[in-house]
This record gives sequence, structure tokens and C-alpha cells, in this order.
Amino acid sequence: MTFVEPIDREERARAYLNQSLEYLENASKAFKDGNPEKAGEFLWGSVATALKALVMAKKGIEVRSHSQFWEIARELTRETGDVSIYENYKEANSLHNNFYDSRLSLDDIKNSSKKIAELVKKLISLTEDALKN
Amino acid sequence: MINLFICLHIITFLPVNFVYKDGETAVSQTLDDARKVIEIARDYAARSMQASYWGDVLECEIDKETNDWKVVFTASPGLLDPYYKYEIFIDPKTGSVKRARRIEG
Repeated sequence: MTFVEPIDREERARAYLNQSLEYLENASKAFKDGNPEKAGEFLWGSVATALKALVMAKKGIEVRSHSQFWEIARELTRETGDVSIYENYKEANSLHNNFYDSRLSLDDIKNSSKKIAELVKKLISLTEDALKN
Repeated sequence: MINLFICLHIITFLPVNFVYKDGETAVSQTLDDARKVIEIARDYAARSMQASYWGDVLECEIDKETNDWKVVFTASPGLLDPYYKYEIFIDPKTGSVKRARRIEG
């Protein structure tokens, strides 16, 4: 993990937040264009960048590896007591895998997308709280 | 007699700079010790104080009262938690932690 000085954290965290929202919009467009695998990959990207935003805002740490996302999702679930964070993170990860090995149905992806959008909202809200303090 | 006087003069005013066997000076030895002490504090904080997110070292010095190394630092127990101030006292001979506590928060 790379440590970022406090003065640069807010700017980086906001850049990740914007990126996360952009991916969410792109996912919606990809669904409309009849490309669910691509939509799933955008949803995963939205979760990953929202997690990056939160960790940057709270701790000034740059997340670099896929395994760190799992650790962070577990830790957030433990700290908040909200088990849906980890469950929905796993859904996002399965969409990421599906992009390379397409096995999920359109309905599966659509069901996951609702849960993932909720997760992104939670992560954005936590990040906004961190940036206010 | 004059030679003896000159020798004594040189010895008296010879610049004092203790150098250890491996070429280290007293200052570099102390800095090296301080780095090791911070590593011990960091490890102890993560393992035994649940302060897994390391912040910054605020003080690292030999405590005048106890002669132990005293490290004051900030760390955070969780991703969503703020940073708190902690202090750890370390035995300079053995490197063992003698006392540790969260100072504030």
C-alpha cells in the first residue's frame, strides 16, 4: 500500500468518487446497449473505485491489489456490522469474473446490479462523511 | 620535556569522536537504535493494541525518569476509526515493551 500525505487525500478521494459514479452510469448504458458482461465489469469498477475513495479519505492509503479489496470489504463489514457490504462486494466480484468467463444470465446480472448500486451508495456516503471531518 | 609537553597538549585537545568497531559513531548508533525501537513499537501496536493503521511518530527519545525508550505515535484501530495518540516504553537493553497505552481518545 502507498501512503499519501493528508494534503493530497481529499483531491484523490474525490477523483475516485467521480470515477466510481461514472462507471455506474456506464454500466447503465451498457445494459441499454445489450451488453450485460460489459455492464458487470463497469459495476465492479464502480465498487473498486468507491472502496479506493473511502480508504484514501480515511487513511490516505492507495489500494493497489485485488486481494486488498477483499480485506477492506471484510474489515468494513466487521466495523459497521453491515453484512450486506461483504455479500454485495462478492456479487460485484462475481460480475468481474463473469466478464472474462461469461456464465451468468442477464437476470443474474440485473439482480446483482441493484445490490451493487446500493453498496456503491453506502461507500460514497461513508467517504463523504470522512471528507467532512 | 618539551616533547612530553607537546604530546600531553595533543592528547588533551584531541577531538573526541567515539567510533565503534564497525565504523559507526555514537550518533549513528543512536539513530539506528531509534529506528529499531520504532519498528518494535509499530509491531507491538498492530499485534497487541489493535492499532493496525500506523500514523506518525510524534516523539522518540530516552525517557529521563526511567531510562527506557519512549515512543509517542498516532495510530488507528480500524478503517473507519480516527487516529489516536499512543505511547510505548521499551527496555533499551532487551527491546521488550515495558508499558504501553492509548493516551487520548
